[in-house]
Amino acid sequence: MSGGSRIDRWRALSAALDALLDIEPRERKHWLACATISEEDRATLASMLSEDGNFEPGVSLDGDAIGRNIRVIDSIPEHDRPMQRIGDYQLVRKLAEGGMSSVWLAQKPGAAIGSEPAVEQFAVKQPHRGVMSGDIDRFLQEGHILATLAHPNIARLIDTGISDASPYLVLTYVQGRPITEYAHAHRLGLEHRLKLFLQVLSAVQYAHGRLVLHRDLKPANIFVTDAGEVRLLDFGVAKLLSEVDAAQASGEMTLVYGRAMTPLYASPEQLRGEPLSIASDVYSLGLVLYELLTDKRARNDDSGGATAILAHVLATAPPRPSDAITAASAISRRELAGDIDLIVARTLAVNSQERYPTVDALAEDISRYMNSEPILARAPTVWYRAKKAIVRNRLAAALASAAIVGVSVTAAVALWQRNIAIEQRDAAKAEVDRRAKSHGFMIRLISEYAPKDKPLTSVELLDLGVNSVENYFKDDYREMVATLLRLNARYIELGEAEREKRATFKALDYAKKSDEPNLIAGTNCMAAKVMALTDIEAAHRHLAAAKQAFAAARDPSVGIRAECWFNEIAVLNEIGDYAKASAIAEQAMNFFRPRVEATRSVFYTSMLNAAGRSYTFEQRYSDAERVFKELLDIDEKIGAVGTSANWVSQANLLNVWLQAGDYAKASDYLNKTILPVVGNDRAKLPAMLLLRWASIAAARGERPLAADLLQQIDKASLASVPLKHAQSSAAVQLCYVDGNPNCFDRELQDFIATTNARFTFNPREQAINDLISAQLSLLAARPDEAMTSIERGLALSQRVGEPPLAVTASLFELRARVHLARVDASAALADVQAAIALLDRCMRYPSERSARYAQARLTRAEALAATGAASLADAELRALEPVLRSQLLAVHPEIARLARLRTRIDAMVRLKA
Amino acid sequence: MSLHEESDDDEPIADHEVTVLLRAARNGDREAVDKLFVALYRDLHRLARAKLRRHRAITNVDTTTVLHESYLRLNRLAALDVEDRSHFFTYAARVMRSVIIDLVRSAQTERRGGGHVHVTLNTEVADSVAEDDLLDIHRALDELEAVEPRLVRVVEARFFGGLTEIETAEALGVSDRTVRRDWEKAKLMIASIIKQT
Repeated sequence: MSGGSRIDRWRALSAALDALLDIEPRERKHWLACATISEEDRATLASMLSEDGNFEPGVSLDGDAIGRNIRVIDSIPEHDRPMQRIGDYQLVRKLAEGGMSSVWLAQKPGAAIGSEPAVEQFAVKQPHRGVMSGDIDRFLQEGHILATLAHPNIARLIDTGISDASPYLVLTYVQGRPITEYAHAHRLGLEHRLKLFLQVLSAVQYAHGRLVLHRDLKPANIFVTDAGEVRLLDFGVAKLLSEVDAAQASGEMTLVYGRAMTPLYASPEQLRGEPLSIASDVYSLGLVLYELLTDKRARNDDSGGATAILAHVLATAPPRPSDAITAASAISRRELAGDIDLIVARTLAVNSQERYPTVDALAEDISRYMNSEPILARAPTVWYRAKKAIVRNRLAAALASAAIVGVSVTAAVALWQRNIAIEQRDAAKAEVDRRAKSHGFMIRLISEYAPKDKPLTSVELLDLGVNSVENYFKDDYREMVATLLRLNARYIELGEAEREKRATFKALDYAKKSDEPNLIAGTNCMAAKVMALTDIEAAHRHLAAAKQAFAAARDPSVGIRAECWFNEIAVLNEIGDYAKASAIAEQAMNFFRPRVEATRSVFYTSMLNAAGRSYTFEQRYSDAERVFKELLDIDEKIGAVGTSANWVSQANLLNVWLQAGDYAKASDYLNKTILPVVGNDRAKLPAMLLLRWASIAAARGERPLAADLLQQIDKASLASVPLKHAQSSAAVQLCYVDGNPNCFDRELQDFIATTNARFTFNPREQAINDLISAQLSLLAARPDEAMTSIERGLALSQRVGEPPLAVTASLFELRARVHLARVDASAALADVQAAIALLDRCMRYPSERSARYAQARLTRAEALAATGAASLADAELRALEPVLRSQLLAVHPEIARLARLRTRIDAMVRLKA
Repeated sequence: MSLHEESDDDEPIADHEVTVLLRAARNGDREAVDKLFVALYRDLHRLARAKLRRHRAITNVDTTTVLHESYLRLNRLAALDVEDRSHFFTYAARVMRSVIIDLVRSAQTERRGGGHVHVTLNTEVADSVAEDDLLDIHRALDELEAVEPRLVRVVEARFFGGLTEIETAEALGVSDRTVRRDWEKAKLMIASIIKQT
């Protein structure tokens, strides 16, 4: 076996394991049976899977024994510690050592080391013994400077003293890692990295505001704590701005101190030993930003020292960040190209006059970029501004279409908000006051803040509201969040996705300040939804943050929990991770089932709905049928039959049978259960139900009925993507049973467009376009064309390491039919066997009630007959005939195919006899 | 070189050189990576053999001690910073893998050749890994290297280097959650690769 194919094999295995480890153990067996993987991998993985779905690899690398006896630094024997304490501080271990001083991790005495888990830790810095007195002065200078700095992103000076005839500084101990390492390790997306960087800028700007230049900005001095907060360290070479000129004038060169700067991160003027200014820190920040974004240093050559680096810097600019990025990076080249490249280029201008004049100016441009506003680093042109506007609108459109998929996420938000309203009603006077306050806010917003001279659009008014909440509510964060979410609901209605995002993050910030776990969780879930379609990693992080907040909540709000689950499932379904979506939906159902009474069942039914949708995608039709029926039973019990939510559930249930191929059951249900609700007047049915019915009628072969139903649809309702998709599906289905290629030609482009709109974020599902195109080609007797479409569809729908989609089996079966048309019986048989194997393994629905299954068997019978296996074909036909006849009307073209095959097989059997 | 040969006159590792190499390797200097490997190999191999002479067997615990001894000595002489430390352990665990595999191989050769020193690798746990399994694991890791190098680094750090989850996470610059997940997955990958080759 060649190396290349071996690598491919392990790669496929690795992908399969990723998926398997993600899902619930008890679902793993099914996944494994059904997934698109090699038979060898299927066997290997199955052999390691126990009954309960846990893995037992059989190779032992384990045993805590391996790690049990290891304590790296903490186990250094006592005699390896040259010092025990400095001043009042007990030393634990050395954190860092520089040319001039060492930094130690230390504890305050009194607390016994090791016994108390939460001993406060400090970083104690002391010059080495024997350093020159000039160095001591400089050391003390750091203390003076730090004493003037109190900023959340700067490590604070806590204490100073003299020990062993040498001064020491005590600083807050920052547990974390350099910013670049942190970003790389967490595979942070662009937005998150920029946010971290803005924290850095805030700290440096603060220092500049106090006339302090840092002069040694580099990743090793910019730590990020585990909580994701930036801490600027080491002001060891910092200078007061007022002293810089004097020092330079007096001939004091920075290089005197050996490590007074780090050439790799020094500005050109610093390398030349020229006077420094704010622009020098801006330059170093540019190098940090470069590395933060690309995971690569802007300068690589460390060896030649300052002179060599300077020569290099003057001769060549580093590659643009967008060119420096590698395929493995968490950030894409496209994200960096353009604005970010320009921002970085401006910070790294060799001539300090061309750089951003202040750190604030740099921060402002980054913020503008993050808000999709034109940056200042380039002269604005009309074209550039137009492009920005287009990006904003495209994103808005994308998110808006995502929001109306299925039972929308917005509905869950509304549920949550209703829940908040209920809580408020119950919470007596304080809440009434709050509401009055909030009401007052809206009135004041319109009467005072809005300009009088021109009318405001609703978006402008909302913007005004979002910008004024802080001012109005002072530090009532709870009310700020609530108001922002109310304003946000309006943005969602208006399709203002970018503003929704901004308001959501603002609400998230206030929620964090409020310190109320429920608010933090809820706003994080909304942030997850907002981020889901642009940065799935970020979405997952917000969901994780929400879970953490829940864990901390004393009274976790069930409403917010429901909202979170609903968002998570919606996100997973949208990107095609159906198995995981189902797993989470099950978890959610189990959580809410015992709480049905307390929550007026509304959350439980939301989860039933989410589960049913995930199951349908996953081809677990029996499970989907079960949960949708449970949902409808609840509706009946609480008198919700005929409400819009109830109709959606009815349509979803019909869709399950339609997908499974149980048209008879769907049709029966429509006539016996659904029509009586509207007094048998189908004009009273909502559009979604009519469209599902049309699809079912077409699939059974009830052509006039399907055509009538399609006629009946109010064209205005087709502005909705799901409705348009349902309409288009029914229309092409009708063309198919009509056997009419012209009709197909007319409807196909429309269908393709709506499928693409419906599955924008899950291109695998777009394979259905190829299935329909191939059906048309075959109908029009163009088998080569059909083949091309089928191959494309299979390539799309099958992804190694993932379960195949419902459409995959249909594509295999259709390819078998193309082979039959080309009189290639053995190829046909192989393909139809593959199709049936997929249905056997993946479709969870009784096969004796599935027309889809029976049709595949009809194709198998045809293939068998073509290979001359008359008796096998005969047996197959006998087995499938009752199923097909019970599902399809006599006028259906498949029934005609069945009859033709019957005649042919009878003739073959007679001939043999 | 046979295992029982004394070679105390080996030049001790040039610590300052290692520090320089460590930093150069971090910046992606291939040559430095190779030189670093040689330097560390010499040091770790020597320390491992010293253990072997004393205990007649080497355990996972010993390999870990060896790694830390090497590190501490280096640190005393050359003042490694936090980043150096992480990188040291990543490289050293990698080198330790070679040291151990070479020890196993020469032990097997010794036995076959009738040599008089019997070296066994003993994990000191109930499910101790037999020598052949160790070689299988080594070969599976070679296969895995091209596909998922990070999983290999995790196995080297945890299994050959004996680092804890947290230490591995620090050394590789990933979260400890990632290490846990990688470790689970690596075991399954290795088992599958062994089954399929």
